[in-house]
Amino acid sequence: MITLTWEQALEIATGAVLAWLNFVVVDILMGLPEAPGVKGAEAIGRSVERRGGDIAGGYFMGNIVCSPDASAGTLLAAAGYWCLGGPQGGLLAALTVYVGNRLCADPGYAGTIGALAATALVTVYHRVLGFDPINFVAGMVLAITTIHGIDHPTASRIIGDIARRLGRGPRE
Amino acid sequence: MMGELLGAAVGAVVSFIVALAVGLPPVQREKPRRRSWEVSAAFPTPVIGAGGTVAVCRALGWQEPKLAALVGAVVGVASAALVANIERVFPRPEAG
Amino acid sequence: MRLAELVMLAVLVWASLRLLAARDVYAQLIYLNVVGFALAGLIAATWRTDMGLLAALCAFIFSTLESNAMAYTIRRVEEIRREGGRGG
Repeated sequence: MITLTWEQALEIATGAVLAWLNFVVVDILMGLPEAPGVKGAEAIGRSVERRGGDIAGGYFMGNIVCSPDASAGTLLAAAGYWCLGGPQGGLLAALTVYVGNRLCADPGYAGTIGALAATALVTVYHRVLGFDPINFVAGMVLAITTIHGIDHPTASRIIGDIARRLGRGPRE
Repeated sequence: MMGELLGAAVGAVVSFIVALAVGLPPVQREKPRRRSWEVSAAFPTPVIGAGGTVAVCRALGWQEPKLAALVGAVVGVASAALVANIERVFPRPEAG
Repeated sequence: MRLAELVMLAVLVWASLRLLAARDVYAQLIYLNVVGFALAGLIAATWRTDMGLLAALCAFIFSTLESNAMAYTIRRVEEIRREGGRGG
């Protein structure tokens, strides 16, 4: 049985906006568009560039695929909050993201800071706005889809533009 | 729930203090910090302290504040010890 | 089923179709990343327990590790083929 309500839709949309801002800002500030962290990220970045995209945005996307970054942190922190019933879930997610980072040759700032910031956001989302945390999880899934799921070159150009404005353009 | 969060806070604080005590710098000294592979008392130590405390509390089922705080203290010390030896325990891979 | 779960399921199906239709393998890896997100979200949504979270965490982190390994290896093979061709 499927229950769909406009309230849920509004909550998911709000979650998507908050999740998008959280992971994009943290990932850009932590330098994902500047350079590929690993060889796989470089290959993905160059492939996006070849298809008409921006290299900084390409590196951003490649780094996300190849290591748990703030997008992973946001998703897992929200899932943690939902499953464990509070911010302690986000803390557990942050630890797990850090372990994943070390396994992926990544020092770990983007993932853990993203997870901790998301934990705070989901706490406000739940306790202040009174929204259901699962809608934040779904919102995050929508947020990553806007970048990785629709049009890679266009998304990369948008990210590249924001990255340069924040002083995190490609270093080459 | 509040018990676990208190435990996590204790874990984070204890791990930070013990990390300073064993000689880790308070924050990364290399700049830009976001690229640094150095570990410090501020990162990743309290993340491991807080997250580890939550994991242990859940595994043991100890959610009452005093027990959680005890877990936090123990996990905090262990986290600082782990981070101080992180290259031996969890070496960074050669660039992928 | 909540709207949240329906949304994540829709994303999973959409990204899977885009993956199958993509020509470039690196584009496929990017769509696969979206599948990983949706899958982890659905796992956490379905099992609202400690184990449910653990399962979602493992599913996502391992999918990232695997994608990293795939991207590295595919690129490395490309490089070796290119060097092999020139070397004769």
